Amino acid sequence: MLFMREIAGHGQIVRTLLNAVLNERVAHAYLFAGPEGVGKATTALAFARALLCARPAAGDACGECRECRQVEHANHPDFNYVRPGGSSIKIEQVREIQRKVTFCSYQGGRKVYLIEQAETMTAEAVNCLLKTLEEPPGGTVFIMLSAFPQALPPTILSRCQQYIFKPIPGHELTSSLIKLRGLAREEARLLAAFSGGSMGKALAYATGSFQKERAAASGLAAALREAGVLEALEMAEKLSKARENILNLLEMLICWYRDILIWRETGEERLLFSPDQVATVKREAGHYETGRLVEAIETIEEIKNKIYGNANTRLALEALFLRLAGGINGARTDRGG
Amino acid sequence: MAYLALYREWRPQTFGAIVGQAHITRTLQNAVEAGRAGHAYLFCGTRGTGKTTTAKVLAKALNCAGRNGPEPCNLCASCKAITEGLSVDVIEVDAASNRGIDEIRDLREKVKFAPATGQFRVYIIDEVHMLTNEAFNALLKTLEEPPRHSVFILATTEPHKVPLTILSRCQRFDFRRIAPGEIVGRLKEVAAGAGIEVEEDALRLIARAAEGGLRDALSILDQGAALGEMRVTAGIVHDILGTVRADALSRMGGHLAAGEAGPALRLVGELTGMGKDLRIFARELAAYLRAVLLEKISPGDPAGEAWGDTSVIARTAVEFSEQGLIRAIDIMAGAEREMKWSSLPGVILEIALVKACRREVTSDLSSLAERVADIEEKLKNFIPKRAVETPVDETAPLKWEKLPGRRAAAQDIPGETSPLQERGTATETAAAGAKLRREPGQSGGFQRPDPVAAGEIAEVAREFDLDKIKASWGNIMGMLRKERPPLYPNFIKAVPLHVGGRRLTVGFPEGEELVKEMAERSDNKKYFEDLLGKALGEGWQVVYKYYHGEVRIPVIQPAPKDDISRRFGGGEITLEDGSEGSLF
Repeated sequence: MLFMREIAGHGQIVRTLLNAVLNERVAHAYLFAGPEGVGKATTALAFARALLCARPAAGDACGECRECRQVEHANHPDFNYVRPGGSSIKIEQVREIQRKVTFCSYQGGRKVYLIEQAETMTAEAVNCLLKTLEEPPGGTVFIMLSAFPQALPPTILSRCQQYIFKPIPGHELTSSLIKLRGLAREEARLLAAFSGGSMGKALAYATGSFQKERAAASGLAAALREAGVLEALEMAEKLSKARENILNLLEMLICWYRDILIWRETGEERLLFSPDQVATVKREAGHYETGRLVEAIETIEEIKNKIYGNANTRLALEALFLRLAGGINGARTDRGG
Repeated sequence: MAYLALYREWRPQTFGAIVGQAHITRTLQNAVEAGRAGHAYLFCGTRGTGKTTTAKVLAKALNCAGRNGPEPCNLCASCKAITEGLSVDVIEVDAASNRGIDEIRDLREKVKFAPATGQFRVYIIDEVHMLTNEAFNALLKTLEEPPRHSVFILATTEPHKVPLTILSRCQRFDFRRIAPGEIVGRLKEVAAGAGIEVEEDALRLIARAAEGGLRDALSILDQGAALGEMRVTAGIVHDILGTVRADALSRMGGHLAAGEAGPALRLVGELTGMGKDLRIFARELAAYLRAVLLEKISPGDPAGEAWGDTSVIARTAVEFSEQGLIRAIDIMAGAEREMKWSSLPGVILEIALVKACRREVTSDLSSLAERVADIEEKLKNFIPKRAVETPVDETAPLKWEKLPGRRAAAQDIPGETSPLQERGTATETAAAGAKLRREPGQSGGFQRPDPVAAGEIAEVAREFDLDKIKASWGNIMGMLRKERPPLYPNFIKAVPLHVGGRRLTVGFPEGEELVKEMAERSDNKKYFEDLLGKALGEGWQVVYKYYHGEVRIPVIQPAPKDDISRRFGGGEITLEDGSEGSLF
């Protein structure tokens, strides 16, 4: 478990929280909002430990007292971790929180309620929480985490101090990847660019076969450029059978087309996700028009969402590849004529 | 005592301290003073506008022992008990947690008991929209005629979920969103009271971000105080909100107006480098463009003031065309929506910016409409003149400027819209349109007596529209009938549907498979293509399709009367009956 001071990339948020503990200005409701994998849960756990610590130093947890160890081993009686039971957080779970909130704390300190994926609360659950969230008994702290805060009603948002976890800036992510995983600088920078500032995603890429995936995506793009109907259908069939994680590949494909588009529009190497592939990008850029690229990326995004929503993978891929193969190199001149 | 968030600590305790809802507090004060308080109130409005606060103040005012005038004293035992939430006569019900019929039945049981100390028993039922249907209905009779000593105050953010039968039994008060100016005023009071130093700019930013909710504003202030150690600057507020300074927005606005995709993408790269959340940026940008649009439509609109320097907004407004602005807002709003759920929000934003900058990359209606509007704008000056000149030679735009009328028009319009330039662009467009279709040696046309004089480019662009084909369709059919009588019957119901370049789509009525098959036989197809070649010039390709329903079949037309008179410059001569002999 990390200490607050060890958290990468959210200096300003960490500073605010430390100040709050230090100056006894801890609010009763926090919302940590931001994309997956940027460090919301990590920060929330560290913050919870700091809140419960018996001997906090400079606002951070000491890591040695009984409270700290209890939090670390997830058996602190005043630390409640609420996560979706099934696909949503239900009103019963919120009622349970309300019941517990009325009790005194077991160990005399604060009581912390950490609600993960807060946006999954049902409408009843959310409304049920409102009054409690507004004026809980003293010493109660709610920390809610959400990757989709816009799905929460404004009545919840306005009761919380909202902390927006931004994507981690590229250089910070790069250096912490080097530190955490001992990656080479070049590779770390690449992963940082592709992860869009999400540490969780970068780490997943680092363990996975990232390079291979990316090569597959750029190879696919090149093949599609040349492909006719038959080849496109064959590719779709092969991919839908062979690959488990087609969404990942489609994301890579979007990134690849995006790089070509960015190169066409700006010609700046540092804006690319794959600066190491700049020669290929440059070569490919000559084969596409901006309009086609925009269309291609939008199409892939659309199909990606459909597959995510459980569409038949093979059919979806076929539809996608037919559109990319026929359309992307400008063969569709008579379109809409 | 544990630290209380600012919005709890500074909850107004008198009517006078409630901000921005004078229409409600005045009414209630008068009612309290006159002793004419109703027995059921419904407070509705968006979050953070003061519903619960007003309900508590009203409860206090009704029960206050030392009340002098309409305001509660906040000193007597009753007031203190209510403030601390300990009073037995003021019952705050969380309707979202106690939403069933059983809880309401329980409440009804207890309504009849007289108040313990004060004059009234006040039930504050908060979040009332979450009651179940049965619970609402169970409440109806009680709400209509409660015991003399009880007052119900229902509060909700969603009055549309409350049944009409409840609404009609209550005095309804709608709480307004609080204006930014009023929020700033209240923030100043609170900041001064809590010992927080705040910059004026920061206050304005907070007020804008709060969107009319005072609680939101106080939450942000609270957070700013924690981060800035009791000193809140504009930079801190930007950090908290994840927003960017107005100059980044105005720069982006400028790039969009100028249609420069490259710099716009570079700016996105910069923002990413600073670790800004691009979703928030997209939202801000859409809101900023909206302010620009308001400025464009009604210059000097106060909406722009929330964005700081209004002169920048005014400048951006001038740079944009109205169509372009609306399209940009559309695109950004769509992108913001998509970015919410996408795993690659940055790419979505970049695509949206490219689309907004380069309207030619999309084929959606709005961008087409915009381009058409452009062309219309350019053509506007030509049309009236052209109508005059039509009888001379409709197909020779190159000659227009040689006529005195054109020159006069050129002097009328100074600067960038001189017809010379206009003609240049128009011809370019035509040339671009024709580029794909043009093949060497084929600019000659079937019905064009003098194509070269008419200007080759314009000629090619005009050559193959569907109307022309339809006009010669009769001739073609006539030739077919003469040369291949066995094939002709198959084409009786055939019609030209569509022309693109030298590619003609011919339609057969749906269901006529045999006929279409016959026409599609390669020798017949070849023959028909050759026939078209004879009639309209070489190089035709034919595609056969079916059509639905009725399509008007062109009849064999003799050259139309007015066409002849146009070409030969003659008028109509009427022959008298029986005068044939004398004429010849």
